[in-house]
Amino acid sequence: MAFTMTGTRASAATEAETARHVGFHGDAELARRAAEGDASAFSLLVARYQRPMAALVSRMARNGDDVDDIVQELFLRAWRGLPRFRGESQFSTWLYRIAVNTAIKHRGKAKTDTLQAVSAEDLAGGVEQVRASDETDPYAQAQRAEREQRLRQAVAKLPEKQRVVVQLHYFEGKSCEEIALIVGCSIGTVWSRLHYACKRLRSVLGESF
Amino acid sequence: MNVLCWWYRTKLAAHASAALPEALAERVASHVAHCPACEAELALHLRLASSLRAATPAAAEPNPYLWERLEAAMVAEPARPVPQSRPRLAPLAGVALAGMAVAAVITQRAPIAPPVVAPTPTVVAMAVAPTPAPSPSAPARPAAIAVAVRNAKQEGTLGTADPFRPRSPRTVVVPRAPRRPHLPEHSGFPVAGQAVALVEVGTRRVMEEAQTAALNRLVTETQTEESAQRGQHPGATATDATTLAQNTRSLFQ
Repeated sequence: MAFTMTGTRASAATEAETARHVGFHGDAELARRAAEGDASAFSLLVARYQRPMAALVSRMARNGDDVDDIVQELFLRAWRGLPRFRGESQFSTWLYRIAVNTAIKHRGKAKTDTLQAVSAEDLAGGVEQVRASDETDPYAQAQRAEREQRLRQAVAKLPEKQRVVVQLHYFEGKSCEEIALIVGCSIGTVWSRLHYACKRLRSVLGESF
Repeated sequence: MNVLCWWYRTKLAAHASAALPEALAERVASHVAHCPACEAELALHLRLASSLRAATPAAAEPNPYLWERLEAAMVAEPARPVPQSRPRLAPLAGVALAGMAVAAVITQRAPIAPPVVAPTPTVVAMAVAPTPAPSPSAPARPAAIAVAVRNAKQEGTLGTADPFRPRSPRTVVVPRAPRRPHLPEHSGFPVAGQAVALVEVGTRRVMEEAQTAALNRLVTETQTEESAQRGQHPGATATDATTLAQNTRSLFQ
């Protein structure tokens, strides 16, 4: 029992230490140290960004089973590329760019089993949404779930450039300026892609959406 | 829908998410306030944006062993490359530029024609000399031929320039007339330079052939005179071509 308590305390102390480091050091400082080979600094960055990266990848990947592998690969690519990171943009923007590129690459690989993966992913998201909704009427819940599933499927079928912008803006809550930096285009291009993506979605789904 | 409406409508999707800069958002809002069609379009965008946000797929949780897996992969990773101050393509660009410069120089300069090993002067002389010429029984002596050549030069019947000055005792290297002759450096007009070079080469060849013919004629006359002095019939014995060639070559050595 004492051993368990000691282990729990040690774990809590480690988490507290990590939290203190995360709070004290900015991304730029940690990235600079990680670029010099400091694995502990990189571990703090991973701890800070693993959740948003997993969320982004899970929404962009075709197959939910690939999420762990993609997240690992994107952090590994970040570790490799950190010496070339000059700090001209924010570390988070740079990491999001790597994540988007890695997810796109894997999405191309997993193109063969599209239907299975999308339906599984959509089912999971739909269940989550139904569970989180405040509606008590089962029929209304089912209707809502079906509607959202159709919407997610329509987004998944958008052209890649439009799909990435829609996912980053509506699903990840990124501003158009951030998306422009992540994708590497002008902000006007982001507005334009949003416009054409919405136009296409409405043409596919109808005016009811 | 006029052009102005079309321009504003391309911003409505971003405006519905409050993603436009303040100044632009105000312009769009003022246009929408006066344009019912664009106002209806904005309402559709607002509804779609709301639906999209509501349809956000559930986020996956990160793997609790992510760092352990990542650390193992980082350990297995080879040493990270040292950051380079220069772009990686810079050396390739330099090589490409150097190659282009060399190619430009090669295309501007005429190719150097490989030297042609011409036959020795004696062989040329034998080939040019008439076959049925009276052959002396004994070959003409080099001393006699040398005297005849000297006399001919004094009289002006033979050019003073020696066209067969050999680089080696046995061979004479005569440059082949190039298909694209070497252009003079100062020539700014390639066509004119080629013409000048062709004229130069042709003139030189004509002079060489004329001198060769004169030399052959002189050798034949000398041999005929010697045969006559000895009282032998010119055609009594065949001319030893090899001996004659050696004598003629030794004349220029």
